[in-house]
Amino acid sequence: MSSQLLELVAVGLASGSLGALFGVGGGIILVPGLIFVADLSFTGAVATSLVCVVATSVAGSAVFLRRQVVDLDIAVELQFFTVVGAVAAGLAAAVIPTAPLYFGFAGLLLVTAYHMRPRPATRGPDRADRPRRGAARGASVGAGLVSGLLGVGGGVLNVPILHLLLGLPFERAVAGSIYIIGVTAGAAAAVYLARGDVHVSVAGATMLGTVVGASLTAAWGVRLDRRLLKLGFALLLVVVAVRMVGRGIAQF
Amino acid sequence: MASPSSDPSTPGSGRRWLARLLTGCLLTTVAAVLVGIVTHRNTPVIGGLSLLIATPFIAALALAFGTLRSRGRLAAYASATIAIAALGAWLAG
Repeated sequence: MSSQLLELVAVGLASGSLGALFGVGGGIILVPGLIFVADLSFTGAVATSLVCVVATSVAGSAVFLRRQVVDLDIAVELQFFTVVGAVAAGLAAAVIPTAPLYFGFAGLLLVTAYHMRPRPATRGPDRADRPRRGAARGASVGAGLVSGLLGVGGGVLNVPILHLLLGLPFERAVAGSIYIIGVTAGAAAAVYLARGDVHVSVAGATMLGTVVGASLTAAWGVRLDRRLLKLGFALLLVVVAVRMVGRGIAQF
Repeated sequence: MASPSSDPSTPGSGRRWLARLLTGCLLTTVAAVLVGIVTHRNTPVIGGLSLLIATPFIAALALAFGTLRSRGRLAAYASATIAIAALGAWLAG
């Protein structure tokens, strides 16, 4: 087995494991991993990452559907709006210069790192008393745009949409988000695949690592200090964000 | 007479049925990719990844014509989602 194949499986394993541990889409780890390890272009990394995000979503959705915690009525409606955004982004990605996308991705990493920071347990923001469907639909188009442009699932946006705007309990919001990101990433991945941007062998190897990492972590968990893990992950995201900014500046 | 667990039109069993569909597609994808890697051929990998990308839409179709068939608005959303995704792939290709 070639060393690059092993590296790709390792990137997938890390992405699947960290995604399952922290409830984030694997794209936030996969895109930089594929750029810095596999030396893919930004567009190639986004396309390949989207395929792996579909795998993560399918595996997670199967579990949540068995537990009957996916609110299909809401998920089926919102996935239409995220797909509209994702398809528009996938089509636009062919003409958008990549340098701003590096900066956008770095911004997304920093926002995620901020949310990962260890903090004392406090009461979360109040859920909406009255579902705000219009706002949720508009925000879903935005989540689809972010997903299609940056190669992430968009869970960072989907969960607040379902929890805060539509008033779903947090666990159901996470389950609904996992289901929605599969369709969203699938629609964008189909656009990239049709354009020939998906690196097939890279995507295959990384996807295997993602599925194994997510499944093992979900099944057995990791007996490590959660607080320490979060701190380490947040620091890693900041370092990767700085490297992404550097790569973006080099594009000019 | 079909058993309740195999009938996708009842809400609880429909979700379990959908979960089995997703798991089956994922396992088929993993098997195809493994075959491609072991035999150093791209065709099984492309087939597997195409199935993987299609899986959420197969689920949406199953929902549109199975679980949701009695609820026109959601079936319309599921069908429109598939149409938009297909249009996007067609425009890109």
